Amino acid sequence: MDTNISNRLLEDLKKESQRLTTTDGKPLEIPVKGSLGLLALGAKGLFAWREKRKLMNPKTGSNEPE
Amino acid sequence: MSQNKRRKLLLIGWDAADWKVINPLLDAGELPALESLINRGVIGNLSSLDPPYSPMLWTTIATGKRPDKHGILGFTEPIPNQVGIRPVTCTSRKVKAVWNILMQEGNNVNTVGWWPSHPAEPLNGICISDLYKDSNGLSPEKWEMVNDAVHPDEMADFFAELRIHPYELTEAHLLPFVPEAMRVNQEKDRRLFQIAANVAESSSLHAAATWILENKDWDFLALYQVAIDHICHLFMRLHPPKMKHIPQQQFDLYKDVVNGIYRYHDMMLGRLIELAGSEATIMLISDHGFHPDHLRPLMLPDEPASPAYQHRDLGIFCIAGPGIKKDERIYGASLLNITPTILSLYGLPVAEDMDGAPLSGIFETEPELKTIPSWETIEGNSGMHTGEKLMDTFQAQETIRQLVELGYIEEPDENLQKTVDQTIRESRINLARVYIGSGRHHLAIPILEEIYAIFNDEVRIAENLASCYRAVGEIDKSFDVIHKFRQNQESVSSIKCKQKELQKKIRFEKLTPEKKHKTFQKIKKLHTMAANLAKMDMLESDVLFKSGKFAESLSMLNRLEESLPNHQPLHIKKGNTYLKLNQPEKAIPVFQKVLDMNPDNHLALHGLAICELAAGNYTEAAELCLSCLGIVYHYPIGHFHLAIALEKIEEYEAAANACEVCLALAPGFGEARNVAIRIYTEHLQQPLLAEKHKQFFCSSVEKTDCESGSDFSFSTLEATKDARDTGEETIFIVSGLPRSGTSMMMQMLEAGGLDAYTDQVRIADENNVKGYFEHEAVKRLARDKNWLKYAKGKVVKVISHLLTFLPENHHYKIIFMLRDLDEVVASQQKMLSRLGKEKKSAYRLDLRMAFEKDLKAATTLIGKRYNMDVLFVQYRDIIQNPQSEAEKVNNFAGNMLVVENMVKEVNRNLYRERVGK
Repeated sequence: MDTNISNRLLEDLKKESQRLTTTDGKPLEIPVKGSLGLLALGAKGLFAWREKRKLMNPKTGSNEPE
Repeated sequence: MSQNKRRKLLLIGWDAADWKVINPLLDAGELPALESLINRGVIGNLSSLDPPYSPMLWTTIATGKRPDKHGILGFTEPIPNQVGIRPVTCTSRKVKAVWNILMQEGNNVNTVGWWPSHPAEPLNGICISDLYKDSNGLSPEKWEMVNDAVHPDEMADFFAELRIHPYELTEAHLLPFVPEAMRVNQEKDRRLFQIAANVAESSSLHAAATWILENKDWDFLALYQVAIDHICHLFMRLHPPKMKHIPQQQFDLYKDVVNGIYRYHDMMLGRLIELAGSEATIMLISDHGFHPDHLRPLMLPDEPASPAYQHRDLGIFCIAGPGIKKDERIYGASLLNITPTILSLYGLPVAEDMDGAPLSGIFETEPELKTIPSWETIEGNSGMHTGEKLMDTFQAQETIRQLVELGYIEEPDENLQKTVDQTIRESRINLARVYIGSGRHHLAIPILEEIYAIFNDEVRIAENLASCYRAVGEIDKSFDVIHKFRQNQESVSSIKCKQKELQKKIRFEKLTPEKKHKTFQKIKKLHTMAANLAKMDMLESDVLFKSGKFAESLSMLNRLEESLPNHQPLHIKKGNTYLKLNQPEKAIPVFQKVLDMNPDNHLALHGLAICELAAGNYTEAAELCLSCLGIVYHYPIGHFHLAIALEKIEEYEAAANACEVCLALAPGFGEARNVAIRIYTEHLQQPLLAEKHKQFFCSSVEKTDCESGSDFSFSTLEATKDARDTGEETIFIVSGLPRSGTSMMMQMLEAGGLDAYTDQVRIADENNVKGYFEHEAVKRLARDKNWLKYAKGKVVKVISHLLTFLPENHHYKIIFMLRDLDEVVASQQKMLSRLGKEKKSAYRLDLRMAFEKDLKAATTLIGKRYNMDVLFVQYRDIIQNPQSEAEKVNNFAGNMLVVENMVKEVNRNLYRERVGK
């Protein structure tokens, strides 16, 4: 299994997920608890939420306060 | 769509999605994405198939073929070369899926989560298998993705990261489904977790699909979501309106889960449409519906895969995109149409070995229908698994068994073996049901007989076998199965007695919770036994009905009514039986009783409409038909009777429209086609439209006998192949009065090269020295018409008296023999005399008058039926001028006969009872 390709794709997706905006071009506010709306955005929404969790809880990436 | 633009199709499957749930949500503005799709596209119902098991159905959708051709026959399959079972895999699929064909034709194809699609196929795009999403009860830390879930393999680690574990979800994801989730005691109630699991699984697949749409050059993407089906199985009984037996607290807690999962799917749909882009075509479908209303079953039978009883036989169909009509409806679509329609979208030919045709009515410009014999023989890289992965799993199981018997390997564990045997048996039963569902009862019979020989106490086996016997006209065998099943069961009175005792025990005795539970289980078992007996009684009444014994059928239903006073289907059958007995005045209160119980029972409204038709109250009949169709539009016989009523009140345009809808839903409904032709010819002066329908009788479309509304089956009406003008579909009939030269004409036709449909039961004798050319089946034509499909392209002898029983769903070319009536009478008398059956009191003039009447009735009938072409041939002319008469017959038959051989068969010496000789 070529993990390099997978790793590269994961890095790209993380970066792209940070660029999610609302319809009027403003950065999308990501709730740490997530939302169905974020999941419905698909891969980018999922990663945006996971990155937000990591930002809030760097050790565990949990959606609960550490 | 311009030719230089490539077609892009996003095919989305929502298992079990149902317009009955969707429509109120659309009305409330809660499904905006679907609403936008509907507004710019075509929608309709999608008829499902039996058995309604999703892996079989989704493979039919993806191949355009029934399960007997594609090979997926259930949920599980034996593991090759081992004793054990596993979830059904795509390696058991014997034919190409639509994505294999599209890939072969140079398109970039991708599939996500299709059921079954594991192990992932080596497509030129990405393939995510159905096992990709499953968490299998593993904790997030230990959640490894199963092998072969992703193709290409080098992207497996990446896609594994797009999966969402149920534990990852928070209250933010669950409260939209269960607003008071904090009240749920999760120690005892696992339903919150089940919701989370479904949201997580569907979100995993959705994430994978969105990534493909955004990052890959794609031409085709198929995404399948199972969550609606799972959630409906878990929560539909808690969906509004509240069912009586559901505790209020449970209802309050979970009443919004079903709507919630639809709302979430709509959110995902919105994103998919956005990412697919405006140039993409979006097709959204479901394999079956799910009863959300009063038709929700209270109890499921104790048999494998019984939750499927909650399914409704109509799924959803919605398509929008370039070249597709806007804001339109389509009628009569079925699962079998999906792959042919997709091939048409891409401008590719449809294979003749597919069981469906394209839905040409969805296109702004109807595409030219191109066909090839089969896609299976077209070479090229299709992305299917290669030989080493393909194996016949059942054959592998047989290999194991043989090795055990030969002593090469040890006897497998008994229970495991039992499981494997049961899996194989269920697949066989499913195959039999596929045959039944497609009108091939004769193929189902040997399978069911084999299983019935061992499991004759299983009601579903006995019921299916008895129904098959009934369908092929083996009425005695049908009764035999029913009676034997009853003999092996306890009597109804004994069951009732035991039930009463147990109910007393629960009411008056102090039982431990364990004992109480056991007693309830016993009551449930007795209830099932009683229900099984009732099922067989209902079936027996059906068999009696089919064999024309309406009074006996009615007695049976009256007896059953004592134990099932509120059973609506029973009352509908009773009403229909009164109609067959020509007693509409007795049918009216029966149908009315059903409507008192359930005002939305469309069958009862339809029954009343027939009563009004019989009474000559045509306006009332039309109104009742409209009420019936307002509840269930997908009901061809209702449209047919609406057409009849409208024609009577001289609303010819509306009557023609009703016929057209009826025929769109049921193309094989010959009676309706005859009415349509009559209206176009006699009232609307539209000869071209009439001719179009006449041509249809000669086509190869599957034709179903639809004369009785109550027995009308939708599942066998999916075939909508375009008309192909082939003589093979025509049934040639030689008719006339007995002794009018019919046997001679049969003989001539056979000599000329036409196969005679005969069984040689009645052999040649002095009266017909060259044979009778008859078939015993013809004698039972009044009650059994099933055999006629085997007479296509052949010639069959049907005396004039029986012509009225020829069903209107076939095309007939009738060679009607005419002979001087005095000669006919004399010849019959002579024949009876030779047989020693002469009635000395027979008065020739009476006989002559009866024959005259018979002939008049036959010729009037032929004149009214547009599916019958007729050539009248004088017996005397054949004898006097065989060459020219044979040429006429050949011309009528389509110039396919050898006239010279026909002429040789005419023997003037047999013209014995000649008038004026």
